[in-house]
Amino acid sequence: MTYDGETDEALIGRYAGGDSSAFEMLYRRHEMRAWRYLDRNLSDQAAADGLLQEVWFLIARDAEQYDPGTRFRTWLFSLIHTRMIDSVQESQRQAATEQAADTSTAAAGHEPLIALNDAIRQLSREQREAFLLQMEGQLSIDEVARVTDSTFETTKTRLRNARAHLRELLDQPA
Amino acid sequence: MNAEAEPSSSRQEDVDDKYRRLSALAPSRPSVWVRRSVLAHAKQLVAERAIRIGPAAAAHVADKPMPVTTEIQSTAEDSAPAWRRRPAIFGAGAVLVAVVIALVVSQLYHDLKSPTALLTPGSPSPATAQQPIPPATETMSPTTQAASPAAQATSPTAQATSPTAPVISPTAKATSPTAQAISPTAGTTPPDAPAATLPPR
Repeated sequence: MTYDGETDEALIGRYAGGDSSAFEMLYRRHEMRAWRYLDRNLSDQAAADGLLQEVWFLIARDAEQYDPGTRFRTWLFSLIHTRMIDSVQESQRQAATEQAADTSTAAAGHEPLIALNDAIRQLSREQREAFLLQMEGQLSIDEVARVTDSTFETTKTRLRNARAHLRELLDQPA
Repeated sequence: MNAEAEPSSSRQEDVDDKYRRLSALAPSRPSVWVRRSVLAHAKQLVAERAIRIGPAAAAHVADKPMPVTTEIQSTAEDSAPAWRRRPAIFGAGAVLVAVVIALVVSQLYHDLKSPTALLTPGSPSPATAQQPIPPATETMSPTTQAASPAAQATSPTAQATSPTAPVISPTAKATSPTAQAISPTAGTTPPDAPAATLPPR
């Protein structure tokens, strides 16, 4: 059965009703973006994998409690963001920073990509999270503000600054 | 203002486009084992939920009050004995009334017979004495004759329990006024009065 025309909200509803193929469709739709959000924030593929798994386990578990009034994508990235913050606090962040060097080495041969990763890493945590939530999560400013527990204006400023900073960094000659 | 806003907006879009373009080049992907474990976990949860909900739903249904249709059925079942009981009560009452009437009338006749015998001692003709005493119901000519079929209809217990209970119950009700009509007659009749009902010699 194909669910191409189905919305995320309909799919999670189907899964809550016992249709596991709807969950698979939902997972495949958001897998890459969710993972990139984690990977770009943590600069750690293994940590991103672990958190991605944790978050989707939570979604599978709480599918029945899903509020249809909330956009699924907002719920997903809210869970990802919260879990990521917890994880970072748990691991004292230093470990993630150490592993960032390994990621850069692993991406050798893809210079533009390394530049992008470096540029994103140079953003402040708040700017990076807001920017990635909008780019990977495809969330509106209002949704980003809710996920990051910030005001609309603060989020808007963060996003503007993040883009300005990235442009500078990416425009720099290698 | 607009002139400043437009380049600013277009520059933002440039950054976004650049980000998307470079992201698409990224060879890194989430591990396959993550996908496998997530999907397997999701399937497992669905299976567990189905098992858990299955018996739970059955227990829930058992605990719940009966659905409306069953309730209606149960109400009908409860009311059916009431229907059956009501005519039985009326029937029994009617039988009781008939027995009482019979006793009263027979007593009345017995009393009538004795004073007559006393009044005309030694001269009661055997014919008079032997004259067949009409049954209690027959003595009450128009009223009792009208009531007698009702009393006959209600007196058999079998009819009281017959399935045509609603038909019986009004009949049984009809007997009680008849009985009331009879009993005052019997009750108010003075001991001397029945002598007048005796056939003339």
